[in-house]
Amino acid sequence: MNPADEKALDDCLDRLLSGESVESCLDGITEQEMIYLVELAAFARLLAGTPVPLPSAAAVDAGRERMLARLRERSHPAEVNPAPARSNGHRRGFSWRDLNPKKFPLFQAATAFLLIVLLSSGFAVNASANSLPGEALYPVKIAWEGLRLTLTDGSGARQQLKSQFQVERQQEIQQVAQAHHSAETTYQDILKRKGPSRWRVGELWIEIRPETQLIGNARVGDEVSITVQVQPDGSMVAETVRVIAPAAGIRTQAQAAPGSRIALSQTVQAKRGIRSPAHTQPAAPRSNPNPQKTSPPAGSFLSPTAPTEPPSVVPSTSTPTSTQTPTQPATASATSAPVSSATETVQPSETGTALPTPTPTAGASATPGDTGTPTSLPSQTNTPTPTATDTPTPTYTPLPTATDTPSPAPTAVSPSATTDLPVPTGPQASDPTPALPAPTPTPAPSSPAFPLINILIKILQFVTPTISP
Amino acid sequence: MGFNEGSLWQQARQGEKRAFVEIYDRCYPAIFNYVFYRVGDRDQAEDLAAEVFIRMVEKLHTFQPGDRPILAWLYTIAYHLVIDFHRKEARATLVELEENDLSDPTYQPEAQIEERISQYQLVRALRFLNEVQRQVIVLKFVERRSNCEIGSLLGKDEGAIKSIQHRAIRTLRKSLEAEEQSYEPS
Repeated sequence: MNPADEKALDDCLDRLLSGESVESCLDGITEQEMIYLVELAAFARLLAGTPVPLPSAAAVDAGRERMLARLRERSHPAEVNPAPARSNGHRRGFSWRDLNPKKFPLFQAATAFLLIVLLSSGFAVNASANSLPGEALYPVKIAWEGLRLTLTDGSGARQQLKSQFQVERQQEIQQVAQAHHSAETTYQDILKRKGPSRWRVGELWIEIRPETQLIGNARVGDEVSITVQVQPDGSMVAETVRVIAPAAGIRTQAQAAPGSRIALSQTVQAKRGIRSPAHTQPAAPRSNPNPQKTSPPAGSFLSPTAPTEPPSVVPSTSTPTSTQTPTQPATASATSAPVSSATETVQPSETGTALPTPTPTAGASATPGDTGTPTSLPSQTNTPTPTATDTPTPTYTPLPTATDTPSPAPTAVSPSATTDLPVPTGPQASDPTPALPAPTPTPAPSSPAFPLINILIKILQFVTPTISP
Repeated sequence: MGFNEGSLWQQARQGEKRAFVEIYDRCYPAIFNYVFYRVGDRDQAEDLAAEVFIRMVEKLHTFQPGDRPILAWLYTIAYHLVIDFHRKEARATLVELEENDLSDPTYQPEAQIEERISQYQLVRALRFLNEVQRQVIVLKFVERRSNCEIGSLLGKDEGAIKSIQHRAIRTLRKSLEAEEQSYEPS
């Protein structure tokens, strides 16, 4: 149908709708168009004739009132309360719908990526919990432990966690060795014994070979970091041993690292003070010269001059020794007293620096130099060693004997080896094991798990008798 | 239509009650028709038509008149309301015969039934059309608006309105013929 015909039909339709008859509207229209138009007209009539529904007047009024009521509710004119149209620059509150992925595809992608990373890392950490050295997930476990240490608040809690990890490390090494696998891992703990070919670090005996790299002069009682190669045959060979914290070293606050390191060194030193004989011994020789000075007892806990107390302390503190002291010269009992005190407070700080140098000098030159009192000392230096080994029946007495051992030690072996020699290898033949049981009696006071409490108890034990007399 | 929409609109935006009343009185019948032929029920159509004007008050600030008449905007509001209505009701737009008050002396049952049947047929027939065709048919044959006017309301030119109108009438004729044949005894 061409446009002219369409227009003719439209005109005809309009005329039909306006009420004209069909015949009057059909002028100038072809037969085919006429048929079509008649059909349309019939329908138009039908539509036009259809009564148009009208709303009731009540409904119209009610609708108007509803509109006006709504208008009153919105008392403010539209201009005053503009819509959140973008053109107005008005910003509405945040809605999660704003984060429509269509608008922010990057946000969606980043969220998905973050979720994947978090889920997978969490899964990996979980799966690595039981991994052993040499396994694929073991580094994840170590990294996670490092993160936990970093995030742990409080040096005490951190130290507890660290010691827990140390135990786990050693258990892992044992498991790997028992499974006859090979792996390499590193752990840290106290060097407890030193043999010619095996060292005991923590709870493990590690082979020391000529090719083992020793960083620092590791002594019994030192905290060391040791890299262990577990062999398929179950042997554990040290690759490197590095001293982390010296056994006898006292850390002034200036020297100590902040936070955990201070606490760590303190606790380590406290442990050593109880366990290792290396600490008890150095205090004794120091006590020997001091008694001559007769300084007030108050300083005995805080400085090396403490040993001045012994005369007054001896009778009360070391009740068992007091019974023995009569046979032994006063110095023997005198040395024993300071030992107990020095091990707790003074010793950690003192022994580190003082131990190597003073002991030889004290034993050799000082005692002779001190003319007055020394009379007893010379006798001690010779006699106590044998008597000490014999008398030690009580747990306490071995300590005084230890004070004497330095003097024979230099003469017996070598003066330079004083650091290693102290107790284990010293006078007691070549076997180190008998030497170690000697210190074990000393931990008797209480459990090493609470070194600070032990220290306090000993201090109280030491102070109260000094006050009472 | 035919009134000064620009000034009326400005007055309405200022919150003048008279402007709202005038818009309502002028546009309500058209909106009612529009709604009625989609809902098929006078009461529902009255309610929905009234709701259209409440929405107008609420959303007055969002309307940017431009060249469009207010009625065109109101048709858009009505369209969305009808869609919501059908969603909620989930029912066909069937016209139901109302219960009549027999005590009413003006009540003429035959005339009303005839009227409702024709309305019923028309509403049923309109269901075969799409939205634009339906709107054009109602505007043309129920409201008796010119093609020019319809084009203005729907935002289309006059030629497009004619074309839509022709297609709509053919579809309606076919659907009505089919319906008549289905009622003839075989």
